[in-house]
Amino acid sequence: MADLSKNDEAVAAAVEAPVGRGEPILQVRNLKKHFPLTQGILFKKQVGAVKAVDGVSFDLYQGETLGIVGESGCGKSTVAKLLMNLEQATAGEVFYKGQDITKLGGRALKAVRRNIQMVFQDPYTSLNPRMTVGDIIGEPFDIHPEVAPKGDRRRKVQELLDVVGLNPEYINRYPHQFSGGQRQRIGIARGLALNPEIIICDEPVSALDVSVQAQVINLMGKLQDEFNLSYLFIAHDLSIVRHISDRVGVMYLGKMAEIGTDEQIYEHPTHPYTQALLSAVPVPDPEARAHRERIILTGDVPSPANPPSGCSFRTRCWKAQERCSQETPLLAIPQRFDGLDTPAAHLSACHFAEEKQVVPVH
Amino acid sequence: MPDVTKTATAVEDAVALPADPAPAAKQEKARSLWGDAWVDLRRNPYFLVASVLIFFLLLIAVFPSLFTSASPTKGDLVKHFLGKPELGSIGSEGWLGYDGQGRSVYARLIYGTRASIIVGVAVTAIVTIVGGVMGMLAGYFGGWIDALLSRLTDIFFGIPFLLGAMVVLQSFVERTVWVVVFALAFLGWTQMARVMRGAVITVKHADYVHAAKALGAGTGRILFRHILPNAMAPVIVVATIALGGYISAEATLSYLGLGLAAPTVSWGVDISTGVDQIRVAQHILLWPSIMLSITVLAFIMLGEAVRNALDPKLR
Amino acid sequence: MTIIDNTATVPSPRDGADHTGPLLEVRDLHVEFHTRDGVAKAVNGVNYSVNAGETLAVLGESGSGKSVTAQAIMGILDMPPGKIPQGEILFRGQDMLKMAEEDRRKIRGRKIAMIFQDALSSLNPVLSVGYQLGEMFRVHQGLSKKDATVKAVELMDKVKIPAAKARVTDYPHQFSGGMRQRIMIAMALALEPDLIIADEPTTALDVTVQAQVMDLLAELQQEYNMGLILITHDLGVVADVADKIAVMYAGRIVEQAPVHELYKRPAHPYTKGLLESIPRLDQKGQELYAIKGLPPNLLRVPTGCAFNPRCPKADDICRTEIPALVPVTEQDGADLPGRTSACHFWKETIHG
Repeated sequence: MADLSKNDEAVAAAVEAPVGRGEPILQVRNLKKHFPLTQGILFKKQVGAVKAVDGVSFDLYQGETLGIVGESGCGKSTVAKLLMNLEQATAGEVFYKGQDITKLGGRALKAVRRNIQMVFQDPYTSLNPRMTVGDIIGEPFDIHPEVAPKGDRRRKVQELLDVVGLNPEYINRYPHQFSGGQRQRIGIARGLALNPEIIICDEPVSALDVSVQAQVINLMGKLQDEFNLSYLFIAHDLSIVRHISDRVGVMYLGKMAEIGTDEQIYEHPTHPYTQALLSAVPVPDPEARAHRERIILTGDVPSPANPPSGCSFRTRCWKAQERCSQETPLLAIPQRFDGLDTPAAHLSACHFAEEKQVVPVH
Repeated sequence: MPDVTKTATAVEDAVALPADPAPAAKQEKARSLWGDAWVDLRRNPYFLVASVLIFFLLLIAVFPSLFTSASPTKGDLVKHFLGKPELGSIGSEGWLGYDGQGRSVYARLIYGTRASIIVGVAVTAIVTIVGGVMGMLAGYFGGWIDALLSRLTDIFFGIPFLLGAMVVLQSFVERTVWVVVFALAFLGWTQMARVMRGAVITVKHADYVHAAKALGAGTGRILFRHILPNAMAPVIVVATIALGGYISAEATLSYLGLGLAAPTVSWGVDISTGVDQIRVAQHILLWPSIMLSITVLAFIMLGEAVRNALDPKLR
Repeated sequence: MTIIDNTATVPSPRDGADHTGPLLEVRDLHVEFHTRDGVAKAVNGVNYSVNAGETLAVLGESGSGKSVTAQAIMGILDMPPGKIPQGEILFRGQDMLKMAEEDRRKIRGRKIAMIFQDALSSLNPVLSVGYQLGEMFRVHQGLSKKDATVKAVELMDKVKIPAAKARVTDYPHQFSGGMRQRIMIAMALALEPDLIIADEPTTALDVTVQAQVMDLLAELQQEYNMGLILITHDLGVVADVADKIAVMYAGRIVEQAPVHELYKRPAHPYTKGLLESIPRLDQKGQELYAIKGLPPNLLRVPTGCAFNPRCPKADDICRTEIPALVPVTEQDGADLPGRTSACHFWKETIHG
């Protein structure tokens, strides 16, 4: 390749280096994506911006699953696109093994892409309808020929089909001959082809039937152990996120509201939004339902083009006070819990953070 | 309130589920979307009629001598307007009568096919390639490339088709078939560019394109492997239907005395002559008009059949 | 104010008083679709009924026939390719399938209304919501434009849309998803129907908004004493609002039960599998139970019980004989009112 610079080589070498279990493999710092709102046809004038992602920071550790939950429009899918470099970040950094990948291009970016793969939400639109399953799963090898020698590819593709639980003989079929769950398996096989370290899953089961969701979730768990993968698992379904995640981040209007371990978030939430979200989840058990306290929020999520001043949740929050409209709360361990050995001592962006149990503990 | 698409998707849901991975499923063959469309087409009577007609038209255009031994240009003035159609002796020199110069109407009909088919096919090929490339570039890259190409398309689109073709044709001294092809293609590509641009923009945002980008695929691979195959369907449909339109545009220009002219043999030329002589002999106008209508109809039927077969809503 | 109500042939609530049976009863309904690849049997003999003030939840996955049944009731099935070869749909005792189209049209919207999943595509984008809401009154009750708008504002208040008076002239895209679904509900309520069919009404909404909309629906149902058929795939949503549940699989009802009973003691292996396969917010398990295999292909429904290829209890009889929907009893034979199951081994499933 002609544009191969010294720097690119250094990056490419760095991303090949292994990372130990439990160390951060991906570090996101103050990531922002603002989509400009423009007016005018010929001479475009910016009149504002949709702040889809507005300063998000988190770490993904090697071998773990970090769940990101939030309602539609909270920016969780944009985060996925930014991490995949499918969108250009407005500001902020994404460090993959110490390298800021938002500023990469050329060969270095290609090397990083090999190691960060994605599974998409809709198995009906994420597979090219005019390609056979073999071509779809084999495409990563065409793009990165160094991964598998040419004669080896067919066998590799069949192996991958087997790994995700599909009949290797289906290699010549087309996507429309499969059901949703099977297509999602094909998408997962494509994501696995290059032997990545990180897989970003954007609502991977929300388009599937209930009875098939469990199959795919189990498959993903199995693959994580087998290939030592780190997952960033984006979803709106809190029950599924709880099932699969080690840690969970809750997003609201482009910002991280609260982040902590699975136990900290589900059993000791301190941010009112997390509490409301958890209490609204329908529980498939009418008995348990009766004993639960429900927090029903009023109104809808404000537009990210025009978010409220201060804390963006204050317009729907029952605790909101004057301070909330003036001062944006930082994502930090709340003062009252700071230094205490309690599960409530985790990062939460609320001036009046306090613990409230909304999910019954067994 | 009745939501038709709902039912359609319900049907789709009901049918789209493939067989379970039981042994029985092995009989199910790999079927591409084009393969499915072909199965659909074979059962469509419109497609069958249209393809038989088009097959014969192409055969006539390539080998006119197979269909008649008479010459389209040599006439015998003795046969001036002679003879009512002798429909009994199909295929004979005079079965459709003779024209003012004693030439066989039937022979002229057969030999005139070539001009029409050449114009139709060549114009369609050129506009599909030129318009397709323009539309694809504009749709995929967007930004200033799109702004530039789209405005250019708009400018050409603004020129009235026939009026523009006339002006182009007037600037040529000798008007061969290829000059007519050039004139029609010069103004006709805008339609394809627009269709292609729209299709590319739709496909560009599909998840499988994002997936390819996430894998690190280059622009060429994304365009030719992912976008083009999925954006072609509407272009093929529009091109097939437009083909008939170009044939009739050629006839219109020839009739107006701006397209082909004698001694070239073409339906348009004969229609033009036929109109002048309509009071004396109607058959000179009648037969080329019928051929023209059948040809245009055949291509439009083909286009409609292809559209129905490719329409993903019926999948 | 003139109310044009020429519903002479349609049983009005007054006539309904003579009719003592359920509000709506579906009997042995079959629906099939004729497609390129053969006949897809979408609904294969469905029976259910709903009374005034009662909520029936129809639970099923895609391809189970739950939505097709609803479309058959509403009479909005595309025919062809759809066909109803067999069955009855009784509204207050009258078979709607045998009615003249004109009479059916009078029931539709006025007596039975429907709420769809996707509110945005169900509303006309170029007309204001006030106009669309008012249209119901103008067309069906002959109100003037001004009176209809007043009524529209009342309705919007009823479904708790804030600042209804100011927003009545807004267009659908100016509302959020939750608000649009409220407008859909308002439209369905406009003529105070006896029965509402809601097809996945909250699936497209966010969790916090879902709860608001379901609460509203339940509240209005009680106020108007309407029957409600709630079609969904979400076991969680159902648990909240339903009185009784019908579980559908491959175009049949496989189990019917009052809501608490179903969750406590499922009597069909499919229901049981579904309940065990969903992750729970209040539990963190290791591996989820997963129903093996795929939903059936309706062109080739398995012989015998359609669930047999995926069922852990399947035996020879399941592959040859279609199980009938039979009443479920306690171990000692005591009645379990309202419970039925279509499984050869229901005893083992519920008591085992």
